Amino acid sequence: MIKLIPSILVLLLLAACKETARPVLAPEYLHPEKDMHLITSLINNSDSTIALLYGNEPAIQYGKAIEKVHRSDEKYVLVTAHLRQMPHWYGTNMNGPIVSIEQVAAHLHEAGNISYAYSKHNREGEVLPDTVGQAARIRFIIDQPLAVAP
Amino acid sequence: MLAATAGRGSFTDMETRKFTSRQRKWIITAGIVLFVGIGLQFTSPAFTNPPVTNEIAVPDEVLAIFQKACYDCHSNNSQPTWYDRIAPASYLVASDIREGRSRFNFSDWDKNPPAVRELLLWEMVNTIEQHKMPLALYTWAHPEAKLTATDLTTLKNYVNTLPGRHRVDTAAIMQPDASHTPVNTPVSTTGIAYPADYKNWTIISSTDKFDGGSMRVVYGNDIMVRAIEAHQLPFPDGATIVKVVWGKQPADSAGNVLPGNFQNVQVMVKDSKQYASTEGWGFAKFDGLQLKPYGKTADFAITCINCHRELVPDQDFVFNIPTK
Ligand code: HEC
Ligand code: HEC
Repeated sequence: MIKLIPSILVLLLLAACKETARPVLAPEYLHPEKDMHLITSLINNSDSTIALLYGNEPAIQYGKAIEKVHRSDEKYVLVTAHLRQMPHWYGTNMNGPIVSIEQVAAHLHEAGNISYAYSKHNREGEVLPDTVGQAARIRFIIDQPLAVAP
Repeated sequence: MLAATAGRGSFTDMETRKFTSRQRKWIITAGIVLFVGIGLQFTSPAFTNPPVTNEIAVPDEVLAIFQKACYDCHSNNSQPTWYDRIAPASYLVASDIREGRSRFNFSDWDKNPPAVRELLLWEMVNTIEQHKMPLALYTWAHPEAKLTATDLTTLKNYVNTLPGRHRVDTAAIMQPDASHTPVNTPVSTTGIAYPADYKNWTIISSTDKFDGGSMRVVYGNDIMVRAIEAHQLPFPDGATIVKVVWGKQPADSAGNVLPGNFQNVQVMVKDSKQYASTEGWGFAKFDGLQLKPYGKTADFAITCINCHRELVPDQDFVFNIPTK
């Protein structure tokens, strides 16, 4: 009984707090890739990163094709972000600050062969050093299988 | 109280003396409080413990934590103290027990399918981490039920040993073919049609949901994206979120983990009138390559909102806010 009156007060206080807390989303950003569609998502726990690979329509068509032949108008963007814990759920890690944006664009040469232009920069547009070797990186990006989504 | 009010004069004084009107008010009030208080005790809810049908099986140190802090409301072994049994507190206690047991019951544990049991255990860790459970009023009245940082670590270590944490898709990934393609647009029992055009929407986030061995990509439609950009909460009607869920393949030599089998598409649609009973959000889930609508009746949405409400009530029940 003695505990009751303060407990009701606590209850009222808690209720009052709930009413006044007006949360605001932090000034966080989205990173849309215009006219591009998702090819796949990649997690790398050794690097502690999570990445989204986007492609233009020809790149998506390549992903769907059974006979794998790259076309000369494919474009790819790989957006890699740091992994961080989801603020309200221990059990999920999500994309944090963006580490790098890699772009690959196919070109058709007069001889009929395809070459690829590769660039790597950060979100502010500054060029980042290429540490893995471009050829390997380009292959890694253009050969990613399309994630199955009906 | 009576003695304090009337006990100033001698015995004879008492006999003859008339009470002042102030004293009379006190006596009457005290009488009423006592009368109503005692009366309440007769209607005070009785505490019963239904039989235990299937007790949760967890390591001893984990069980000890649950017994200490959760069993009073989430088991058939509630042990209310004497002061919990006094009305009107007893009403609150009884309703907490009723509600607590209805959410999950450690004494009736196999009522939940295995995947739900695991998810509940992760949810428990999160409610404790965010100081939502045990209920604040309860720990205030039962300080011995307060959990420590060590208790939380013990629970985290435990959930990380559960099978979902280590699940990977090792066989060849299932590819959709004509037999999978639904003829008509699937519609959930909550009235939400499968939003096939989500692939043209903006991606809000990508996640590694390691608790169940899955990875996800979350999309928002234009209304949702504009609201995020304008920091508008609650989200306006029409705002729609789609979450695509895959299993995970084993990591390659460089540590890259690729999506495994497609599991489902989950949807949240804001319509504050139609879905008023679930905080204005309509829920839907479309399972497997056939996109089979989940849930026999629309009631499945209650379990969806219960978890979202418990943990993210301050961001309009949405977990995936955009990140830097
Ligand atoms: C005083 C009673 C009480 C105690 C003690 C208590 N709970 Fe609860 N619990 C409730 C009630 C009531 C709800 C319903 C939601 C609410 O009121 O917040 C609930 C809801 C929950 C939920 C949400 C389930 C869902 O539907 O999604 C979880 C998880 C939970 N409790 C975990 C715990 C854990 C873990 C403990 C112990 C550390 C605990 N609770 C102790 C009363 C209690
Ligand atoms: C046990 C807790 C829990 C339950 C039950 C639950 N969710 Fe969620 N939901 C989460 C968490 C945690 C996230 C964020 C983590 C992630 O997406 O990896 C989430 C995210 C989502 C999202 C993406 C938007 C957001 O809030 O971030 C959708 C859509 C969603 N859930 C739909 C559903 C549907 C539909 C159901 C019911 C069939 C459901 N959820 C049941 C915990 C839950």
